Amino acid sequence: MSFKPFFDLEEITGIKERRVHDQREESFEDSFVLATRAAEDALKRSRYKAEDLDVIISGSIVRYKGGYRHYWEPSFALFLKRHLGARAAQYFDVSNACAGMMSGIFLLDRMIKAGVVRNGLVVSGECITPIADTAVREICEPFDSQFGSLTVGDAGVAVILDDQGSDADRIERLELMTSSDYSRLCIGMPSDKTVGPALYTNNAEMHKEDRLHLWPTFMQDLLNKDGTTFAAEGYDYIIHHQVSSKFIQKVQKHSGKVFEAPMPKSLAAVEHYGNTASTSHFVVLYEHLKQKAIEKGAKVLLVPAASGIVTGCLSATISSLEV
Amino acid sequence: MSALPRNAVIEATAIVDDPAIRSSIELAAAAGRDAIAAAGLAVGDIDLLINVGVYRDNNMVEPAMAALIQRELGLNLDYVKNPTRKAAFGVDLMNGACGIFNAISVARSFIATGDARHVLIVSSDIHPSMTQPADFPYVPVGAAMIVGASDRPGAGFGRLSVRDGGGSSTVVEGSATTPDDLSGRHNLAVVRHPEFAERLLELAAASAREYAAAEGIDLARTLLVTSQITPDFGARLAAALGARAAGPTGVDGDPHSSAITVAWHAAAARGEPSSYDQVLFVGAGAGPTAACAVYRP
Repeated sequence: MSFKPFFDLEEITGIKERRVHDQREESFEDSFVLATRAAEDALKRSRYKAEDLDVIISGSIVRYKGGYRHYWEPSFALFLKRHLGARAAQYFDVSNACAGMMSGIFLLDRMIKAGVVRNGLVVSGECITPIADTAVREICEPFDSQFGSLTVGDAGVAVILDDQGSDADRIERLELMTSSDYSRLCIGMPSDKTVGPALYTNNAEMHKEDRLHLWPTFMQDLLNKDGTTFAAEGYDYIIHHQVSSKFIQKVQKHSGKVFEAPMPKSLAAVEHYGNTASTSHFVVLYEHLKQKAIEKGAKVLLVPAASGIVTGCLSATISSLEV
Repeated sequence: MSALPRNAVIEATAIVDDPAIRSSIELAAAAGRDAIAAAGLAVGDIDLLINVGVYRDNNMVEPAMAALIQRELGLNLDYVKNPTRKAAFGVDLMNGACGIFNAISVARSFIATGDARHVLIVSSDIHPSMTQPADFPYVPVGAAMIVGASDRPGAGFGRLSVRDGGGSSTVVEGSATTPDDLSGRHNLAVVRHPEFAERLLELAAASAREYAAAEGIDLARTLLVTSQITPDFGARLAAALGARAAGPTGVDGDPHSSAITVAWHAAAARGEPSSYDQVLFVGAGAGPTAACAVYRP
């Protein structure tokens, strides 16, 4: 960077390392490659074959295929369906900033509940680190709107859902909402200063205490409507959006006050992966399942925080899910 | 699949084709506002906002255009300041010109489960430069459709069919490269196969025939509401199927992701659907993809 920040980025974000897509021509990893690998990996450990899938939903922000070519149409899900051989599957993309995966799962959950489909694959190949390269070139002042771009990492994730839930394995609560007054606080689009994609965030406004209030207030109201409380739900773990260690601590502290309850143990992967955008909660889940750090029957709460502002909750009991 | 517990019907539609509006967000929001008024609803009655538009201002990828449109509408601006019974959620859903079919399927699901009373589906497509270059094949239109619950027996949308035409060509591709210069916010290439209209017509006809057979639909007693890939696409598809095409849409050009709403809006305004047993929505676009859904008002 031409500008040397007066603080240590690792110290304020808690990010020690992050993953960057392979940029060698012969083994280039774009959004499509990342999404494909994740989808194949999920299918390998699933009872379903690609041809059994009723729907494929792609939820990445960036849709690079064939290098840094961003596809608007056909849908990324169509390309994935063909590559995977999911002959019978419907297909569409969702886009909802860092809540893309969660939004895809939300729509699929309701489609399954309504009986419109029986199962589906939600996938995201997030090849987002080009915004970090732009930020490195362009940041020239403290509190630059592109500072957040320095924290991102690339990742692909895939989740398969079906209508065979049991008490031991199921999504219990899944609700999302958009408080749209803040939709202009974080905008992703090509830069007009240097060549490359960029993300511009009004950090002062985005991370105001009032914004931190959105999730716990919404959650509290949902639970009240169902005649329960945060404490009574007995969440074992909570996974926040992986913005930074400090952000997660701040949300935990603030939310605990609103719920007047101790917060569940926060699972994180931000230290080793950075902020992997729409994939972040599932990178955390995957890593902890791999380390066998989530005991069978644990109740896990995933909390999105995305540009929009999108927030909400996905709580699930996990027993047989393995990676 | 089986009948859902609540039927999903079209409560209102609106079209905005004001050439003075050069923003996809404003076009969709203007149409959304008109549709909410036409349905006699308040903005806060919308529980789910789905934007199926594809091409947008400055090639923005974040946030969802739906969030920006939602803000223009004044829908769930701040849940803490104005908590509501059901906090609205907005999402972009993209599948080229056929996204509205997937959105209707999602809307049907949210209505069936009781998760939404009214779903607003909006669309618009504009060249990222927010001008109209000669090589951009779509006409900027804002469209909005409100889907809500109905108790009328037999009314509403039926099963959705989305068919992937396969093959080696996607027929239509729209993409933005990372350019060598600073034109990223304006950079777009929409490439169409020389025979794209023929290919899409064939696929749409095959798909509609298969769908009609599976659903027991008599095409001779069916009004076709279709994409407008070419000016005569609907008429040619109807001729191939032995069905009747809806009348002129009043929009000159291909309204892309808004085409189905545009065609329905014009046909419904003329009262055309009442002369038929059912309406068959047939869309076609990139992939190639063809989509069908039966609708009984």
